[in-house]
Amino acid sequence: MTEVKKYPEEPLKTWNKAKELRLKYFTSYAKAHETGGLRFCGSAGSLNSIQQAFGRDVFILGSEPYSAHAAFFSDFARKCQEACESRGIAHDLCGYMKNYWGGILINQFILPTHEIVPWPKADVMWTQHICCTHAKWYQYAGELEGGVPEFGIDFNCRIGHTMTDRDIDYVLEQVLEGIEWVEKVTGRKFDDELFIEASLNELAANSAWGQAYEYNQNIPAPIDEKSLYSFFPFNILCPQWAETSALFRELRDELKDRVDRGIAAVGNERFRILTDGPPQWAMLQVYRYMEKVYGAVTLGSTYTAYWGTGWDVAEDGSLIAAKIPTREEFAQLNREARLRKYIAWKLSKQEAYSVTFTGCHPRKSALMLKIMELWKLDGAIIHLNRGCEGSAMGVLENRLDIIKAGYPVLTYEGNMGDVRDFDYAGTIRKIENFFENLGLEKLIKGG
Amino acid sequence: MSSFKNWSDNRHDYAREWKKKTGGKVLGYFCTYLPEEILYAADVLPVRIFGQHGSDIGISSAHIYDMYCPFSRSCLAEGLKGKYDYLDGVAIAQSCMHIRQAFWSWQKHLPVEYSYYIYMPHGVQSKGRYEYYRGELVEFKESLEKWLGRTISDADLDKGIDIVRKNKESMRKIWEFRKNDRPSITGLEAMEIVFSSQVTDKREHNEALEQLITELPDRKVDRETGTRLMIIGSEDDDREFTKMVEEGLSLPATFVIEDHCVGSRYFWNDFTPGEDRLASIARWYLDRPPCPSKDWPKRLRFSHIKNLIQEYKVEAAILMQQKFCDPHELDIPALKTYLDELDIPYYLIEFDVLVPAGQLKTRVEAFLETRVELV
Amino acid sequence: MANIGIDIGSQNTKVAILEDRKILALAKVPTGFDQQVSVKKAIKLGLDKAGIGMPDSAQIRVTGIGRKAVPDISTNEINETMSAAKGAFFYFPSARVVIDAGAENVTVMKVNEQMRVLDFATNDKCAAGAGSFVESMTKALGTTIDDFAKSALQRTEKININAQCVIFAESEVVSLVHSGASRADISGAIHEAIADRISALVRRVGLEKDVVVMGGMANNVGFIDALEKALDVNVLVATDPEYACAIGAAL
Repeated sequence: MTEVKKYPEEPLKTWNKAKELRLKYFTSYAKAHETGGLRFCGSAGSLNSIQQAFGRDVFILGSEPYSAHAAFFSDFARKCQEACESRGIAHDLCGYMKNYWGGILINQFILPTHEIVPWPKADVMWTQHICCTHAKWYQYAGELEGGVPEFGIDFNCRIGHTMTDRDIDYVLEQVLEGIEWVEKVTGRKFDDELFIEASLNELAANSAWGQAYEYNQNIPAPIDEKSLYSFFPFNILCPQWAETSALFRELRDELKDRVDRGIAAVGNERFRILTDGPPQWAMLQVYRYMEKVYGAVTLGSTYTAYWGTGWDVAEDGSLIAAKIPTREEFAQLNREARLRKYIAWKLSKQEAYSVTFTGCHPRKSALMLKIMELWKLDGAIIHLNRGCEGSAMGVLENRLDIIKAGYPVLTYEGNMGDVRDFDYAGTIRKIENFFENLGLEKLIKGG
Repeated sequence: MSSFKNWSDNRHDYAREWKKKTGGKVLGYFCTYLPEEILYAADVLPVRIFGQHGSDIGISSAHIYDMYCPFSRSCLAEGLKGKYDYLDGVAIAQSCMHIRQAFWSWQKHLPVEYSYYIYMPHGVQSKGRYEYYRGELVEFKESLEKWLGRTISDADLDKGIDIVRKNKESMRKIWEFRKNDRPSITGLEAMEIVFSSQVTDKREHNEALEQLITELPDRKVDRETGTRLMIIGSEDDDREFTKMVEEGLSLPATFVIEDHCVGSRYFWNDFTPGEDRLASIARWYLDRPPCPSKDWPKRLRFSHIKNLIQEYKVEAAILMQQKFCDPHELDIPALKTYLDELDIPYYLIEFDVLVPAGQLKTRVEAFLETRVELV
Repeated sequence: MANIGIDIGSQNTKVAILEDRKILALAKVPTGFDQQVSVKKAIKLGLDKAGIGMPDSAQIRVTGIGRKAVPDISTNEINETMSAAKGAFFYFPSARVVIDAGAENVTVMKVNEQMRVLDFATNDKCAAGAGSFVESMTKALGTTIDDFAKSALQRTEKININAQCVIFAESEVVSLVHSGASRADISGAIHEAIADRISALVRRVGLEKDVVVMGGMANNVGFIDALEKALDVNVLVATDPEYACAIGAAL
């Protein structure tokens, strides 16, 4: 048996708070109408603070994280998927949306407690259009729900580090039209004060996420990516809530403390892994297997790094959680200028939109390699995701680029939302082949 | 009529010959939202990049994941096999992610003198779209000028607009003859006309179209029309399938119209000239009958399909689903409901790069026998 | 001292008994439902052939898809890519790309001169089946595998069948039979389709010479011919390609 260095482990203290926030988030959406509130639904991260500015009792559902959450309950998810397929919705369409449309069709919405409640029909569909079907998801969802009005914002301009003023103008113009549109369909007014409050919360949450994320550059890593998955969706679900920035600050401080005291996420850490895109949500035990049997820990990805926050590049080339505007900077601007600043931060610094959906662009490979370097990673495991065209875009080119840079790469097939596309035993076999070919013996005989 | 078929059969030879003859540059493009007018203005020949039916596309497997549509993988495979070695440049006007990935991989592995990505909006109903796309075209024109070392004047743009506009107008005229009780051209011929328009010099193509327009009133079609079919599709240049349906079934059938980008969607709307040429070009592309990937939040495409069904007296539709084409696939459940309401029978076929002709023959025949009331 | 390598595949269990890199015996039995029983049967068959008694369990090493299923016989495992690389090197030290094409699974490996597996690719879920596909087609056409494979070399007309999904491909073949296509042309189309799928995996790890083919499909001349055309290289096939992984496990 190989002898490995053993680091001390401790459970994560903030874990339960994340669980509580998740429950609050889904429950408050489901119950929004009980208190006269409104339900906005769309793709997660569709500029939440703008939606929140229509009232504190506006609750926003990001359908991708909801569907990822539903995917955890694989029996429930299967019912949703089968309902879609019997309706003529193709198997290979978005793995998330089949859980969402399916929920409408079977009139069931699942809460984190496993409680199933009647489907909470949206009042407004407000969404970004970032891959080539995002706004079409809600076009169809709105039809299935009996005619929910939809507003879509096209993000298919230059976003990320190449975003220009002209691109910002394009998004801004749509947002301004969207504000008028929401005012018309809901009869509510856009509240600038509320927007300032929400957007400062949102950017503070995103920024604290980046600061927490940086601690994983430490050896041993204080948190594994599997655990990060329990926190990271709040960056796009409800970053505009004060609770989210508070939770992320607490997580950041806890990770700092763990680093100071040498506490590891995985005591046997000896191989540090980059992942890519959403994983096979119902099968995260694959990650656990790698940790236990090979001491291989998944630590980061452009997915959890860039959907979570924006990054600035320091003079020495390191990535630092992007600086955010102050209240004064925001408050002194007029509405249009303030929205402009907010859009520019979200879409140019937070490059997830661009690296995921123009994935084949060399930029994504460069960012992956940058994370590998700074987070001291040894190899990459890439999900060939049958459930998401976006996250499958360019991944084989990324794979070639990472191999070229000298790192080993394993790919596995799955579907983030639909476990029927995943071969557990076959994936474990691939993982064993991968690590053993790298000379990593099993820490546990038999596996 | 044979010119269109020959050009479609021998597109690579044509482009090579064109280069030899004119000494000009050829640019391969990836989606029909690309403003060909500007390329004609710059004396560059735009040719659309297509795949090759019946050809192994495994060579693209290292670059594009297999759940991307066979069209995008086949396009890249043709490039990797060296079939497009005559290209001087490549460009894309942004559309679905599948073809974008083919472009990115092409750019990475098949370097040419010039490559350009135009951020064509997806929000063809969004506010600010005209101004944004116009801005993209300004930058595209500037980048072409830099590549070619010459300016593209308004007069050049007028020339480019005229060439492309004439081409599209002529095709609209020809499509009128498909409304006849005995359509003067078949679906296969129509497909070859559009396909060849996308891979030849439109000036030469225009001459052939004009010639055809003079011939069509007297053209005798020696075939039974049978069921009047429409193709509603993803990208579709599958001539073998079209031919099989029109010539190989025990029941007669003719494709009288289609909604896809190797058909009427390519040339449908009229061009409105204006002082600001690039703004007019931008408007033309944005106002086109939309590709499914751009058809939101309102469904503009369905009412267009309805009009085509009525104008062309369509009796049944074939839904040509390019395997894994998500935007089109996502329209299908709603499209089926829509066609049901119009009382138009339809049959959905999922297409891969290789056509399983025998199997499809049986299936289409069964559809025509059971679903369509023959007149 | 003799070493036993066992390769438990989805269709057959293969045993190789080696001593000082010399093959004493090769044996195979259908894997069946109870892998314990089939492994024992295969070992006995091998030992009888070699004319030796049962060696120490430490000298038994297991590989293949079922390698975890026989802990009573041996927990000494080697993964299938490593055993394949070793088996390939046993025959051809010049191997740089190794294709192991079995009944259901296909694995393509890139190896360096030190026999290290640098990268590997396996068939995707929707493209499973190689040997089993040929076998079921053989049955459907009422012929033998050997005759069916050879007939591919006599094809006169190119027919395309959908290469990706075996289920669809099977129904296409039925249509082809009804449309009167010749057995040679159908065989050619099937072998070409499988070769195209496997060559796509080779492209994924990167084509490099020499290419060694092993596994049951390597015995199929129609497949080898189609693969050479798809890759545009000559491939090397071991004398007993089906046993190469078992040999690798025994080494």
